[in-house]
Amino acid sequence: MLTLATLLLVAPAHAGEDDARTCIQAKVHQARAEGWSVRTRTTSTLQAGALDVYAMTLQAGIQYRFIACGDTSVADVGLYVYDGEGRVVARDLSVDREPHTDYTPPATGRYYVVVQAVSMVGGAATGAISTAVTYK
Amino acid sequence: MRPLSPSMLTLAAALVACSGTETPDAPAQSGPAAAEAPQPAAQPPEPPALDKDALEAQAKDVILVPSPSEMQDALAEAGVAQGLSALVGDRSVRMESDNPDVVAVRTGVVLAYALLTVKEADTATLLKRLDDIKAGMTALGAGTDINATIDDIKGRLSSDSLSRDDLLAELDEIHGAIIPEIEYEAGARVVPLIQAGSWLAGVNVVAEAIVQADNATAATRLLRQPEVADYFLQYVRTEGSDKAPPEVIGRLEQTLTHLKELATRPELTVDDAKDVKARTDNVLALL
Repeated sequence: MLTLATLLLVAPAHAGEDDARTCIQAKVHQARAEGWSVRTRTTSTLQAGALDVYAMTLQAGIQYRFIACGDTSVADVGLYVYDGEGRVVARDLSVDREPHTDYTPPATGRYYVVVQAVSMVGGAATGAISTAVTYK
Repeated sequence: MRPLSPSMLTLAAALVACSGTETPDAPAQSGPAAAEAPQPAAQPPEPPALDKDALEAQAKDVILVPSPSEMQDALAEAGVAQGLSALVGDRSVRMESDNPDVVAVRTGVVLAYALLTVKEADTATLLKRLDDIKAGMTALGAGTDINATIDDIKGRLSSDSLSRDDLLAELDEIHGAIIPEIEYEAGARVVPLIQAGSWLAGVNVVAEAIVQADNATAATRLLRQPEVADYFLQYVRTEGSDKAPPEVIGRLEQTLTHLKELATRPELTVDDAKDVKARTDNVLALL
């Protein structure tokens, strides 16, 4: 008998994750052309209104650009950077699914990038969001 | 209605162009800078109300660790002119091992060496490092895509049709984007082990550069990464504790604990950097 855990393990990734990955790959490619290097990319599926928090060690004096891409079921992706004390130090102000924001930390330390599926298209329940951290 | 002058139109266009992002210098909860910016077509919501504890409780570590290239850039930013390439030189890593965890860490180390020497190393040395990375990936069962990518890079490097800037971008892509995705083929535990190897190798040469430059300020700015040390420490104590030879685990745990402890000091000295160099040397020698 299949257990719930087994079912979860074999469940395919959210179909929109490929869309979000394709979008972020194009964004990262464009960023590279502008002299940015990539630390990493990651993708996850979020419920409407939910958020992901990624901890990062950022290096003092390095300029970072944070980029996100939602799949077509996400209307607005929120993108925020918090410092180790929980203060917002950078955010994107656009209302769309492809936000970005820049930040140059004054000190090496722990920061958090938060991506949120702020609003969805047509009442979709979930959406995929890819996030990339680039620097130069 | 009086039309806007060209200068006003230019100003308006500039304001709109600058409205995509902001870098507030105060907590959003205490008065968002958005109120001072031009209003976009739709108003973005306030940032989620997340205090330090809430952030920490939800945090994922998948993008925690700085890449070796990033550490090199930070070193230059801190005023240390010594390039890391010369310090890495022709260091090589023995890839043969029956222990996949050791292979993963070694693969991370050689990837760091490749990243840090990409601009100056001779082609033969870079090709050897690419071969080592490929051997590591093969041993780890990382799938065929990454090896095809490495073969493609090697082909272009051998034929002089790949600039060193482009090679750096390719290696950065492998380190930052492709390796995090091999967990599906090679298993989730492989990714942090490769990251650990790259980070340790990066810290090792950064510490050496700081010692050579006799720059205590750079030590304070760059060698205090308690979260990264703690991330790997937790991993070593749980997931990895029975997977690698005991002497490797023991030395790694001591070194990571020391790196974490360093971060509690308000300022580091060049002697601290010497100590970091010696301790990471010892770990790398065990691999």
